[in-house]
Amino acid sequence: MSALGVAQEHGHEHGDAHGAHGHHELTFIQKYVFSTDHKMIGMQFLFTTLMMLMVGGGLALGVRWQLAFPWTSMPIFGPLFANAGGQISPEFYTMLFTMHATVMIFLVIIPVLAGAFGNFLIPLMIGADDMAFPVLNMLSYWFMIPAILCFGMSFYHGGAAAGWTSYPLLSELRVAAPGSGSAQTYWLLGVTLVGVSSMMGSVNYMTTIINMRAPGMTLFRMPLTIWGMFITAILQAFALPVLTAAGFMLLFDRFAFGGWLEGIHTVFFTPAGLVVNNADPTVGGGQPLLWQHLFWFYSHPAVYIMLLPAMGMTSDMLACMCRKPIFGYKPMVYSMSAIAGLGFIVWGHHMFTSGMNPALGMTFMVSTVMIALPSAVKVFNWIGTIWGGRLQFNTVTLHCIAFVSMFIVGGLSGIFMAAVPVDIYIHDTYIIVAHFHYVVFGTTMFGVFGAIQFWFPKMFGRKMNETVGKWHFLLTYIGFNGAFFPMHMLGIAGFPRRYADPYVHPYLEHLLPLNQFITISAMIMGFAQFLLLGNFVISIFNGKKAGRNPWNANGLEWAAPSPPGHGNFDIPPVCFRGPYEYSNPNRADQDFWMQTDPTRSPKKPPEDPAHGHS
Amino acid sequence: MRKFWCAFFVFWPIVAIIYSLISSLIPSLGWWFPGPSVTELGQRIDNLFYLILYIVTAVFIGTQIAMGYVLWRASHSKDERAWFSHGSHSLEVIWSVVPSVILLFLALYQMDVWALFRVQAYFPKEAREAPVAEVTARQFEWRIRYPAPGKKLQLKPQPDDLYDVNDLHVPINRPVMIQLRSEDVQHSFFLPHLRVKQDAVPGQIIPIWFKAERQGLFDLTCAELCGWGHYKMRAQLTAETEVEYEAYLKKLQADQNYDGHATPSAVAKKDE
Amino acid sequence: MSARVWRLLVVVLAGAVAGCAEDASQMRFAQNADIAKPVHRKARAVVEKTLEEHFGTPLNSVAWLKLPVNYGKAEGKVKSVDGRSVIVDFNAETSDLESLKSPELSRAGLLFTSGANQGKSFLLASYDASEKSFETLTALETAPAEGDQFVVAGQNLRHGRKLYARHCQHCHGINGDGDGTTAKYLNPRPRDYRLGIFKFTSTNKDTKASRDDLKRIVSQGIPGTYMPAFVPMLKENELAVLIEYVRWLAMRGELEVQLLKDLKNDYAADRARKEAQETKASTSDIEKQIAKQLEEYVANPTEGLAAFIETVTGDMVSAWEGAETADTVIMPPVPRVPDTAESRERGKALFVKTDGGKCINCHGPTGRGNGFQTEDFQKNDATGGFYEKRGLHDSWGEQIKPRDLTRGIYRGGRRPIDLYRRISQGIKGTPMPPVAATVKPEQVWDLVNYVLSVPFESASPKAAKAHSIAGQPNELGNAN
Repeated sequence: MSALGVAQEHGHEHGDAHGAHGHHELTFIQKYVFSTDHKMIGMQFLFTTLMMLMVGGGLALGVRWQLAFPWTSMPIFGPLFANAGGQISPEFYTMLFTMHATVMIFLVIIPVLAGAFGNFLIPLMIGADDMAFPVLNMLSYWFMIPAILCFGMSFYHGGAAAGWTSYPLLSELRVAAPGSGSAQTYWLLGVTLVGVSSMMGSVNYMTTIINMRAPGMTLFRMPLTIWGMFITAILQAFALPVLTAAGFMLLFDRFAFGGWLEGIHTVFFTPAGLVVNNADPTVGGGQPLLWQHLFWFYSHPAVYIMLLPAMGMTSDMLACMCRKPIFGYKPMVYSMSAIAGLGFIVWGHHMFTSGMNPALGMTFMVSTVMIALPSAVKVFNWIGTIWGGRLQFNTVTLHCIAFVSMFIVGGLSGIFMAAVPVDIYIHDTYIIVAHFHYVVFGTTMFGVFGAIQFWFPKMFGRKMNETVGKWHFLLTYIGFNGAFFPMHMLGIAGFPRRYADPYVHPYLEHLLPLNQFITISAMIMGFAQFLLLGNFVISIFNGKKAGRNPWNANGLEWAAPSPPGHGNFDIPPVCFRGPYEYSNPNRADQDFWMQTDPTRSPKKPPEDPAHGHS
Repeated sequence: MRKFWCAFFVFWPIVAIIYSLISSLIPSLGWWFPGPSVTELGQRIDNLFYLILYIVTAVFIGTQIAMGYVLWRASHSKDERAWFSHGSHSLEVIWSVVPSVILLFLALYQMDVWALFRVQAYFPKEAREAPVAEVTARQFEWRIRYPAPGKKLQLKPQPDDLYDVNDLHVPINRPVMIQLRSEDVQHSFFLPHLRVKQDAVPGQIIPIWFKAERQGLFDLTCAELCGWGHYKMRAQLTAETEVEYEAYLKKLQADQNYDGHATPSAVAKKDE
Repeated sequence: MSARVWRLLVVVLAGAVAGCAEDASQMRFAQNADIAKPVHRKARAVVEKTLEEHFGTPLNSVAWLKLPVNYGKAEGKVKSVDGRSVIVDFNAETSDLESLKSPELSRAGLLFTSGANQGKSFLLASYDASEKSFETLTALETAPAEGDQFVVAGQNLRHGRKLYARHCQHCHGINGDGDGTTAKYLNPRPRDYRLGIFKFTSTNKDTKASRDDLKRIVSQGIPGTYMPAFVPMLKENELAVLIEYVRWLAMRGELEVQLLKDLKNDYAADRARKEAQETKASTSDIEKQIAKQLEEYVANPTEGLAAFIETVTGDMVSAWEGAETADTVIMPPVPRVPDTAESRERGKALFVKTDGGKCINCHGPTGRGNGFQTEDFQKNDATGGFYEKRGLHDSWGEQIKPRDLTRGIYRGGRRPIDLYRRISQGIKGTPMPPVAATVKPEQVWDLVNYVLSVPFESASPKAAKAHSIAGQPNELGNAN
């Protein structure tokens, strides 16, 4: 295997923890900017996404400000509206939540999981020296930059304001909404570029995981993180083309081209005879619902793209922190696969009230309800993992427990919207907002925060500050629950999403104080992220030095130096067992048993850990 | 610290449950449904909601107790080592089969309410045959077209049609159907007090039926982002007796034909 | 290092967040560049000062009692004091302002008529008629005692401004110039009140819009535009105060426009530069001269600024007051001619006659709004020249299209009387002319009958297409 070969070739040069040089000297640009090293690309992704996290958070606080103190001068954004006494305009509000979702989904969650951790962890955990296609890997990061620029241009043109779902005709007719001009075009280009980046990553991850595993690393000896990444990569490969195609369809609908493209002006999503903003009546025969089908065919699997890697990482961290094998390794793998498979046939649950054929509503309800099953199995297995473990409450543990706890809330609230009749009422209300924030923030981001602390020693050879980490966790957790749990109640009270001033409606007037409470909680949560950022940056330089395996974990990555040099491993790794052999009674001297550890057990060790001893 | 963190993770679910209890048991706080449903179908939707809520609450409490217990045990473990276990096949089977039965039951149990709400073959016949109004959503208001008294609603506007804006009148105690359409972008017709929601899709005419069982003014809002004025699309549903409804249509008719000489209606008087 | 660094970081961040919450911006009525730019900056300052004197600022508006605006007045007694907020009992609200013609009160809003604060007036920070409480802008030195009498004036203005800021401002702008932040995305653009012209009225061609007209437009909206219907969002009393505020803004705008127009003659923005070129004098001397001249103009009691304001407001007051009198409202002298095929035929004949109603010139032979005038260059009455673009223009200089009558959208209302009024008196601020002088009332009714029938004429296939959806049966209902 090439992994082995290359590792051997470079092996002798990577003795010390700082050994970052290969046998050929790399320039600064090669090493830190246009790097083809998966670890550097992963860290580039991590820095970028953490920055974008702050941008997206700022936009969210703008939204929250308006909901808590409607039409009063907004901090930071207010000066943009100095002529109106700081009173923002409603189209600015629609822009705020559209761009908040866009930034958070396309520039934070997806790239932080697949881009940052996928890149950093996959070769290390399977014992490869790098990705299968290092240049493609580099490009996958550098396609994020034009994507970010496109979203920046979208801001410059006023910001797309048709919601992150960009339903036509609002997003299609340039006169239909203030953000539907050039801002929407740039938005679509940005999403397409993010798609290109994700696709490059996805191809790379699949190839790497299939072809470049270290000797002995069978599929069922792979850590669940790798399973999560693998399944995510497959999901992306199948779902993304649909979004990209839909994006191009929308672009072609939006433009009447000249030159050699003369006459290309499609009407995929445009019905005939609509007069919007006194423009000429539309010509067409298209169907706006088509966009929703195409969009959600990608975007529902995308929800799992935003979740599965975090599930995998949390499983790994939890097992290590409990000093106990993961409970039900194979059921975990199967349920992840089931989630991915079912994830492709549930997109219609976003469209229960859209006017599609009601018979479809029934089938989508059944498939959607059933997707709760593998999720439930995973939760039970996580609890089972803690059961009987020896737990220490460090920052990583806290985030893992929060992950499971929040996933329970997010998963259970999902059942309400899976049920079509109930969804009639709660569709597009704040209960939806509560639900997906519990899933993508409460679950994924807690997983990511935990993962940052857990793999930080591997990235930088130092540990993050525990005290600050705990304060960050505490404030985030309190702020998060304070902000999002009451949103369930808003939803039940019928509070619709995306209202700049909900209080013009009499049945919502009394909800202002609750919204103010939510906003204050959100501010606490936003503030807490500065702790994370500060802890992260300062610890890079000032953190406590960490050795190769500070957590006494089993994975292959812990056999490499911290930080690993070019080519990752100084000793070519060979995998002898599954990743979760914690507290194995056959290993008396220590409560972990690294995958690379060639020590034989006195008794016959379990060949395949996944079979368990049930 | 161990005790603190265990208590911390147990504390929040308790807060969540207490908060939910307060919200649901003290309606005056307004953190729950905006009053009991005005329609019978809406009440059935509420019942389904409560059914799910009970199941979900039981699961929530169960998992959180389990979580709290294992946390306490794991963090206060006196053992040298953790319990070496890769899982339990029988447990996996149990916690796969039991939830799947419950979930499947939930899904199938919901079907008929959905069919009644949305499948036209199940609509009450009298509603289906004589839609009372056409509601056209536009940026950012609801334009309503009624047929002239005694006539049937036609697809194309008729010279004697009656028009109103942001005020949909319907008679109570009989199922009524409206035809929903959009003039520009997508909107959604949302009657929170009636638990009715249906998107208005440009290029499509979508029928909705409901049977108001209480008189009153109910909010009608838009629930699908339709542009900067999304929140401005406030309208009302006036559910009134058959007699009042007839009188309303008559008044609308008189007002719409007002030429400065005909018997002025109340609205016409205001115009002077 | 770490503990101290962290603590410092926390302190700095907390400070940054707290600093953000301060409201730094002050709301003001800014002069819109479209009319202010050609005027000398010193003259502009004079206008700004004059307007602030008579109208105040948005948050601190002045009830200029000369104007026919119902500012509202309420008398009451203090019930209790809760910190800054004073809980009161109101006597019935009245609109009688005669007893309040004191300059302090019109500006201040609140005047104590008994108790420790007797004779003192205060600005109101908030006023809530339904909650029965108010807060003063500056703290009361001596707290009022229970039973102290007071009068409040101008609460309609304040209440109106709040509603305006929430519902209208982002399109119509703080000063009603139709140039709010959302305005640039809208077609047609939001109404600019500053000409004092509103298009859809029931009054005759020479008068302003009446309160009822404004109320009708605000509550019913204007179909075919982005002006939404504000019923049921605004309640009857809210509509009333909002309209008072809009009228007040319109009057303010009118005065502003008139003043700037007048001052532009003598104090053009480029005057100093031009004169310097002509006379070779130094610019600063001319600037000084301009300043002096302006000072004299402002000070002159008989022929100066005050007199000009007197004339302009005098005309304005009578025009706005006139709109409220019954005889300016157009009522057809004869009832509607029965809507028969013959009547429509007669109407159509008139419609297409080039020397009668001349409707065809703009609205076209089939009412599609494509008459030949839309292809011509039109004369600009304001400048005497021609507009740059082909087609019709309104008084605001915007290009406008004659209504496409086949679409069945009637912006000013679809009642026969609405159409009658528009045809007979024209539409203010637009090239739609009054025909009352040449066309008899019966004939106007014929026209109304024809116009109302246009959307249903089978001869306009495009209209039919716009209203039907392919594959749908014409009969609604019973579809499966």
